[in-house]
Amino acid sequence: MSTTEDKTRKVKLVTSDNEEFEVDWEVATRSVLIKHMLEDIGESEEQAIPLPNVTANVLKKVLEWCEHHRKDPEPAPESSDDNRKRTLEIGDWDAKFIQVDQEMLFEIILAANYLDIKALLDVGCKTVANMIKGKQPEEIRKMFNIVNDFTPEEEAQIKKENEWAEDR
Amino acid sequence: MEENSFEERHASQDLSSGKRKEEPFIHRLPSEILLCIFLISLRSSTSFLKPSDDKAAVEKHFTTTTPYNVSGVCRSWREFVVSSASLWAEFSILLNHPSPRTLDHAKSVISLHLERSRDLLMSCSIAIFGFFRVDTTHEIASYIALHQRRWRKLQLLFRREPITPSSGANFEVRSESSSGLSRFSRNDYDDAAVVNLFTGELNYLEELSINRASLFGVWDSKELGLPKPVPSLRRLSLEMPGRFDKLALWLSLVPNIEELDLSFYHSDPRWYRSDSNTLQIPTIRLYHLRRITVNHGILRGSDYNTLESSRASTFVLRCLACPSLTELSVRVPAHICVRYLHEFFLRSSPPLRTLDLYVAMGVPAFIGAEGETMVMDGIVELLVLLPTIANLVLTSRHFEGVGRLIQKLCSPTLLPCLAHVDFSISGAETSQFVELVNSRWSASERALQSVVLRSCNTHMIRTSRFPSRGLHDDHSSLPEEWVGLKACIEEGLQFEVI
Repeated sequence: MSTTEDKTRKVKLVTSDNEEFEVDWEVATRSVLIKHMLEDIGESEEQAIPLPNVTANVLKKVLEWCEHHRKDPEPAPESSDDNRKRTLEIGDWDAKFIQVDQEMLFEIILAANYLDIKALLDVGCKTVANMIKGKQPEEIRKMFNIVNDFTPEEEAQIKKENEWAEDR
Repeated sequence: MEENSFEERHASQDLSSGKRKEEPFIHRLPSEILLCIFLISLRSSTSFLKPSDDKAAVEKHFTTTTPYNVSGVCRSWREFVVSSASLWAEFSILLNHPSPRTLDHAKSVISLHLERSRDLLMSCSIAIFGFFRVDTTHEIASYIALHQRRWRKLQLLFRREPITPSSGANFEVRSESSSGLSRFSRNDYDDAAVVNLFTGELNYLEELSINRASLFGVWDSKELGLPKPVPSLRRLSLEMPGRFDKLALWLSLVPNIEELDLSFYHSDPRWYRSDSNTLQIPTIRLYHLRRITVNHGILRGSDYNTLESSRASTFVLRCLACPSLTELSVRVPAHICVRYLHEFFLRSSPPLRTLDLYVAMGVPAFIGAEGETMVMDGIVELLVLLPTIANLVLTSRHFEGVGRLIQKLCSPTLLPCLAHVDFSISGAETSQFVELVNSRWSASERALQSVVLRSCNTHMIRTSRFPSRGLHDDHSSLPEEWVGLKACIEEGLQFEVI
């Protein structure tokens, strides 16, 4: 549990490209990874937390999200995941926040996963799920720049699987 | 559009811009995140496999619905999707007027999911409506029952319509929460075979929704011993012929049930027994049951089917004790209402928050001014037992009595937490409703938030309906009858007359 002292505390984060960010404890600890690291190093305020898997431009974006959600309650327990995943709804602010190019979108997802920020990971995954939902394979390929590497035989097999009217 | 050959496609991709050659950003995601994305897409899908022999629609379903669509994107995704059992363990199939061939294909789709989901627990919804072979319900139910050990959530809905030359009914798909079907045909019962369920195998079953309960026989195991409780089951939706002993058996199997939806329909030859009305059933205590909805599929505004619906309610009110109940929705004739509801609440002492009561016309003794007064006095006595009620939904044709009930409700000491009032078909004077609202609105500890009046009238004739008022209508131009509520509406009362 956080104390009043914690809330006024500043935390230093260092990205993979050696940029340093100083942020409020409350913002930084939206990340479970950072929270645990801070617990490990104790009171040592000067010690910077290295984040070797996150670049500065991505961390800046992630911290923007953490700042906006700094007062949010703790994420719900795992058991509620099922219900959470049944809807593609994203809050207005999050929907605007995540309107970024694809490279940044996937970098944010990777960073959220690495930093263990479940709610941000959820926003990213729902955004991609929204892009996939109701789309045909060819549309998905185009959207994500994926090469169709099926052989004609494999394509024929898939088509056959999906043909209701054909006898199997 | 003309499709390029495999070689041409690869050549063009190899020769295209450098960006094209780059690894797609999405391929940077680890497999667990990709799986999470696909699962969200799968679970948020409202798409049902619903066409019959419409080839184009079938193709569209298979090419746009997860997991099928993502399995056709590229080889690595296909391998990943096919080997990810969780993407196949949840599925919905809805067939409307399926031909025998369509049913065979539906079975192969079910089979594909069963195979690819390996030994994971399954959540599936299968609904078949319209015109189909007599033995279909048994065939599909038996097929699914082969895997009952893996059931987690199962919904099986079958509604067969008689085939007539003019058949072409448009069937409405109901959501899971309101899946009760109010119309049944004798053709539903043509198949006499029974599908056996074994409670010893249903260790993981959490939700079961079946509208043909008489299709199933329940046993302990394949040795056909007496069935044992299924402690995992939390939500049960049953539509069944009105056999109290069978219902008692089902409910004895679900000691931890939290939500119960129940409907009776007319008798099924399979379950026919002349003494099925007898109630020699000891009280069944369901300590965790929070919500009971009886006959939720029956339309309001019609007393049609009251007999069967009241029998289901009678069972609940006479045989159950539910000390955790917070929500009760029943449809009962007046005499049952007066006699058994009171006993039920005394026996259960529940922290009830919502009472949705449909009081249908009862036996002659309860019709007419005196009888109706008796009914409403009975309801008032009942409400005294339930001070926690916040939502009161009342449907009643008892014109004389409703006004009396409204009068009593003017006192905030009766149902002090009452926040939402919803009256349907009820007859009373508009002035009585105005008085009710004003008195509760001006109570020292105001709880009232909304009042909805549906098809209410001042007299028994339909032409005397209350003047309508939309929730968002301008409150400066209220119909004369409702002017007395202007101050309350301005202060935030949600008031609607439909």
